[in-house]
Amino acid sequence: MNLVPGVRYRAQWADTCPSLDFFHQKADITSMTTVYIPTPLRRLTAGASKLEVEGSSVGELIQAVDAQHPGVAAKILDADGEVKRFINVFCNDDEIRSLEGLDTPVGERDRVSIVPAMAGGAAIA
Amino acid sequence: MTRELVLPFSLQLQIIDQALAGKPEEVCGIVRGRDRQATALARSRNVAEERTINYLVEPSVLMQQFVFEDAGDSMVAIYHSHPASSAYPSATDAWTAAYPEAVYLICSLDSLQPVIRGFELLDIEADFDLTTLKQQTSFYETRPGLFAWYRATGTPLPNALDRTRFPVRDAFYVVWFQPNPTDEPEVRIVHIGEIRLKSH
Repeated sequence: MNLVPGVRYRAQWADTCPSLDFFHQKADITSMTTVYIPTPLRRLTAGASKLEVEGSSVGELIQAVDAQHPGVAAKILDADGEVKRFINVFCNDDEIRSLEGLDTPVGERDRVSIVPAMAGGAAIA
Repeated sequence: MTRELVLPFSLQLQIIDQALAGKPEEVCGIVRGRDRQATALARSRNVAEERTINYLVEPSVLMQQFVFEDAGDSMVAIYHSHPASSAYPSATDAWTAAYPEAVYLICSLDSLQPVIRGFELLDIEADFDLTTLKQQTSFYETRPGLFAWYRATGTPLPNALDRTRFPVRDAFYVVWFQPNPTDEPEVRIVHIGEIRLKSH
C-alpha cells in the first residue's frame, strides 16, 4: 500500500510520459543578439551597422562577430583579451565594466553597442 | 564627399552658449543630422579629469549615434570647445579622433568673438622611419608620452617622408605615443581637412 499517494503518482507519471528534458534545455538554446557596430569598424563589417549573432555573453558575441568579420575583435580587445581602455561596450544602457565585463550574460532582447571613446584637448606645445 | 556642413545659426549659438557657460573648462557634445545637414545637438558633460585642457564625451551620449541611425539620421559632427586656444585641432585631438565620418567642430573662445570651425581628421596609411623624422624635425611633447610633429599647409616635407605617400600641400600631424624611451611607439598620421560651415 502506498502511504504517500502523490509520490507514487509522480513516479508513474514519469514512467509513462515522454521525456521532459527539453524543459531544461533553455540554457543551451543559443539566441541571436543585436550588436551595434560604430562607423569606424564598419569597413571591417562590409558596412553593416548592426549584426545578429549568437552568444550567451558579451565576450562570446564579440568573438562571433569576429568569426564573421575577422579583425573586429582586435579593434575592441587588447593583447590580454580585455576591452581596450578607449572602447566602451554597452549591454543595453549599461557599460559592461559596471556589470560583469565580457562575462556579462546576454539574451535575445539585449542590445550590445560598441562605442569608441571620443576625447581630445587643447594644444600644448 | 562634400566638404561642407550645414550648421544652422541656432545650433551654433547653442554650442557657443555651452562653451561660454563651461569656461574655463572645455565642453563637448555630438550633433545629429542627415546628409551633412545638422539638425540637433546632444550635449554631453565633459567627463575628462583635467577639463580645462581635455574633453571626454560621456559614453552614454555617444551611444545615441545608434538611436540617430535607427531613425535614419546619423552623428554628423562631434563638438568641443577650446577656451584658451585657437579653433584648430590639436595634436591630442588628432591622436584621439575615432570617427572619421564625423565633422570635428571646435569652438574657440580665444579671441574677441567666439569662433566655430569644422574639420575632418583622417588617417594616412604610410610607412616612414620615425627616428629619421625625429632627426629632421622639431617635434614636441604635448601630453606625457605623447609626441607630435605638425606639418603646416604648404610647408616642405622632410626627406623622411615619402612625397608620393603624404599630402603634397595639406596639413597633417604625425603623433606618437611612447611613454618610455624603450617602448615601441604607437604612431598615427592624421590629415587635417577644413570643412566649410554653412548656416543654411
